[in-house]
This record gives sequence, C-alpha cells and structure tokens, in this order.
Amino acid sequence: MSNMIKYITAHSLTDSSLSAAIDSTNWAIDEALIKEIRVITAAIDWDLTIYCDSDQTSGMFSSIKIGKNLSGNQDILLDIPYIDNDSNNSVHCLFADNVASNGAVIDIYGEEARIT
Amino acid sequence: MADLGPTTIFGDLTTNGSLGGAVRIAYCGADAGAGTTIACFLDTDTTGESVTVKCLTGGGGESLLNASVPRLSDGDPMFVIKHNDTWYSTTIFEDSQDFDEGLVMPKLKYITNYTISDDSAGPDSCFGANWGVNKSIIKAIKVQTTSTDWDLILWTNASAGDVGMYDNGYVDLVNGASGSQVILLDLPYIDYDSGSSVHLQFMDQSSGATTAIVDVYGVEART
Repeated sequence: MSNMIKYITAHSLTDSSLSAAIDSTNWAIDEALIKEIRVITAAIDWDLTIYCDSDQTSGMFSSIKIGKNLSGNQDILLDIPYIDNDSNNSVHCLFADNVASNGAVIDIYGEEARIT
Repeated sequence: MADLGPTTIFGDLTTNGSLGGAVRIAYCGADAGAGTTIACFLDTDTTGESVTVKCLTGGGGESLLNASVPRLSDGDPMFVIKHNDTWYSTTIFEDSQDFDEGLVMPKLKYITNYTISDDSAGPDSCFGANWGVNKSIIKAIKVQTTSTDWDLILWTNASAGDVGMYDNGYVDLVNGASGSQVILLDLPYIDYDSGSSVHLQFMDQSSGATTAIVDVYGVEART
C-alpha cells in the first residue's frame, strides 16, 4: 500500500469569485492533505484563499489565505489538512486580482486522508 | 492398490496407514467465518459430498478462521484428511492482523476556535473533539489576534518545564508577529501529560489584544 495521490488540473478561477475546484476522476475526496497549489496567472498582485465550505465560514477552518500580494505564476508549497465541509469532493478557492481583473488557472496536488 | 479416486493423492501412504484415511481435496462452501470449522465439498466444488472440515488455527487452535491466514474464501481448495471421523485441513492457519490504514492514510485532526490568553507564566492546553490524540504531526496553526507584537511557544506539557520531546520542553514558533497569521509547520508533537491537547503559550508584547483564537491542524501519529 502506498499513499493515495490526488490532483485537480487546470481549474479556472475568475477574479474575486468563489469557485469549487473539482475533478471527479483524480480528486473525488473530501479529506486530503493539500501539498501544493500551482497558479498560472497574468496578475501582478494577487491573493489566493481557500475555504472549507461554500458559505466561506463553516468547517474545520473558515478561510486560509495561502497567497498574498503575489505576482505572476507561482507554486505554493503546502502540507495542510483539508476537509470539504460540503462533502462535495471539491476545494473551495477564491482568487483575487488586487489591481486588475485577471483570472487564474490552478492545479491542486494532494494526498488522500481520512477523519475516522 | 485400491482405487482411491481421481483427486486422491498419497493413497499408498494414507489409505491403510496410521492416519486412517486418504488425503482429499475439499472446496470451501463459504468464506471463512467466526469459527474453527468450515463447510466444504469433497473432490468437486458445489456438487461434491458435503463435509465439515476442522482447521488447526493459532491461539491454541481457538483462533477464528475469519481472523486467520490464509483467509479462506468460498470455492478455495485445500487438502483435507479424515481422522477419527473428523475431516481436518492439512493447512496450518496463523493469526492475522487487521491492516492499519493509519499507516498509509493520514488521519486528520484539528482544533478550531480555541481562545488562549496572554500568559507569560505558562501555556494554555488547547483541545477539542476533533483532536483527541497525544501524538501528532502539527501541520499548521492559525492565530487570529489584533495584537501587533506577539510570540507563540509550543510546550509539550501543561505546565512550563523541561520535560517531553523538546529540549527545554518547548519550541519557539513565532517571535514578534503582528496581527493574524497562519504558521505552516510539519512538526512532530507528543503531549507529555497525555491530556490529548496542544499546549500553546501566547504572549502579547504590545498593549493591544490580550487573547488570540487559534486553530491547530495536524495528522495523527504514533511512537
């Protein structure tokens, strides 16, 4: 047995719009350790926040800003527990371009986890 | 030599020998259950003569077949022999161990919205229903505070002192931070006093907030 690799590829984010990143084939889980989020964007001053629920409040954490005032493409290394409180097999993300209205395309790489 | 049938082997040795019977092949009629016997069909699966086969298991022969290896499944063949009117499997079974998923799949643990006070004397013990472990890998600590100058220390024990896995009993996590922060870690932690908590000392060095609200995120570990 080995660790279960999970990933979401090429999920598009619109500026300042909450989005549930989903990949029913390669993610399909609610509990994970998120290891990295890769961001491709033309924005030169951007933030990226993740939430555990679409209401942006509920769950094991309300929000964590994992990128702040970053510029251009970035690989954000993490190792953070994540539970989709919606049980929707998704990762709730909000990308914000602080000076324009660019969007972003993200990959999320992680490992399956459990709570019981 | 007597005709012992197509699936009988070692016939010369066993038919009239001290074992009193021939080795036969029996096919399991069910998956291994909570007992030391299993229903089988002699010679031919599903249509052969129905017999009950006694299996020699671990635990002095008392271990259950559904907790033993090899783990029998419906249709599995095995050698059997009859002795004193009882059919025995010639297979020796050993106790099995349940596979521990925790060895390969991280088990998430977290403490949410725990309020800790400014305390220069010692730590607060943070705990919650979703933590409940003494051994963990702490992955992140989220601190929400309005303090503009604060420190955070992680202790192994409920009271400050040189005990536990860290030298001097603690690790300085943050010095001189301002405002809310998320501290990313990958730090093994053992609660020395076995209280299933995480001992954090928050010290406000400014004249602002005297409390902080912390979340702790981690995975269960073991020693």
